[in-house]
Amino acid sequence: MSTVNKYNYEAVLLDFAEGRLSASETDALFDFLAAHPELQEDFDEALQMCSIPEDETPAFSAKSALLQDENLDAKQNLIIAHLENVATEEESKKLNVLLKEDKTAQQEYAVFSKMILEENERIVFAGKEGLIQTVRISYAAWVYRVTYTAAAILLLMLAINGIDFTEDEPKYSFASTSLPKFNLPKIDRNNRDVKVADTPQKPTVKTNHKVPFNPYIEENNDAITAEVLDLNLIPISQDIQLREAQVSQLAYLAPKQFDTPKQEEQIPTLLDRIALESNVFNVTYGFAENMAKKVKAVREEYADKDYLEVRVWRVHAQVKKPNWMKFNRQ
Amino acid sequence: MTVQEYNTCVKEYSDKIFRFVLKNIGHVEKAEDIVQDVFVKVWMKVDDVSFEKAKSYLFQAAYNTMIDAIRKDKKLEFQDEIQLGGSTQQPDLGLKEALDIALNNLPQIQKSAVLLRDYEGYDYKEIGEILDLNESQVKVYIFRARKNLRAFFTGKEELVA
Repeated sequence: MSTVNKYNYEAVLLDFAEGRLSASETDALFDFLAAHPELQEDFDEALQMCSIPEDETPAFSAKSALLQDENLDAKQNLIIAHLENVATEEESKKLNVLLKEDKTAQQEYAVFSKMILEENERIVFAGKEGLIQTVRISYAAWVYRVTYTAAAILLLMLAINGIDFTEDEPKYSFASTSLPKFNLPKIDRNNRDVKVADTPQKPTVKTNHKVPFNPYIEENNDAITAEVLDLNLIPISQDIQLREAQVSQLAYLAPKQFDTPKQEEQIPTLLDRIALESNVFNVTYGFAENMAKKVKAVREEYADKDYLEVRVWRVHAQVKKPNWMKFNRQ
Repeated sequence: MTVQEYNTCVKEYSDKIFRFVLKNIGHVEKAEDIVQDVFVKVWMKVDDVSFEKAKSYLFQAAYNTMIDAIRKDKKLEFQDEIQLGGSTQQPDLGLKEALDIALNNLPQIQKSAVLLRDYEGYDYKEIGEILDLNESQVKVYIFRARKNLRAFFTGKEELVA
């Protein structure tokens, strides 16, 4: 700024009133005013114009809400620790003091208390009934049971009628007869919705097998019928553990069909059993060693399959109940 | 574990596991499949699992199966039933609904930890065993989860008033 004179003193006065003058400029202004006392009135007027008195009445009411609590994080930690029941004694005391004195802490405590999650017990698992197991037979127990039953039956037949072991044809391979083949629909590996395919047909077929022990077969029903009850296609999980579980669980179904509590009750309906056959395993009437081989084969074969094809067969033949058995049961 | 004990597990825990999985992934059918898979797995190992530890074993299996499912199937819209809230406040939101949304915004590990804590009352050690974490990590995740839930309600205090 150049020197103060009559032509610029008003602007300089304004700068002074607004505090924009340096010390030397202020000195220059006052020197000028001392030399021109007639301008004192202008000076006072300029000062008055610029110093607008502050009106403090309309204060911003929400200020406190905008202020952030610098200790909020620490307070929240104390509250969480208390609600989690992991607060130390010292922390608990500190929190108690806070809750008495600090409004923020009180509010935070109220909010955190309400954010403990509660289980909605109306939400239930719909498939619970399907998970209930009625019987469990391990492979070892199943093998034992089949062996035991088969041996008992053989001994029984041998004792009553005798069995010709010289025959070439296996006597108990009823369900392993040639089964009709179906044109199965292709399974899309990526289609997760496919669970069970429609059963294309349920034929009843006659087999050529003859029941070898005639005394217990009614004369007019000496052939065995095999009927497909159901045909299911079950996608194999890509998860190796699940695949194992799926196959094993299906394998469990077969022994369940044999699970009749009393041996004598098995005799009349010995042949009226359900057999399961699939593209990866085949559980039919068979003895222990056959079953063991099949289970082993399952584990080797199913790895590259997309789905399990499970046929449920009913193989049926009427067998008379021996008279001695009726006698025993009285 | 006997068959009876296994069946007790089905009756006692299948709902709880279903709710745990459902809250985590927000998809009913997927949750049902996972629960089904979990019990099949447990059934196959029924001789190796003691009844006393069955519950935590089931939750552990559920968590692992769920994580596997999420990883394998990231494209699935798990959240189609419960819309993510984000910053848009919904007018008729109650506390529970808001908590659901807040919960769904949590990172997976925090969500599982806080669900096991609040739903099942597991301690940090047990949660750690289920989620394969140490106790300190569990504590950190739970504290963070609670703060994240709280942060969701910032500006929505009327919901918790």
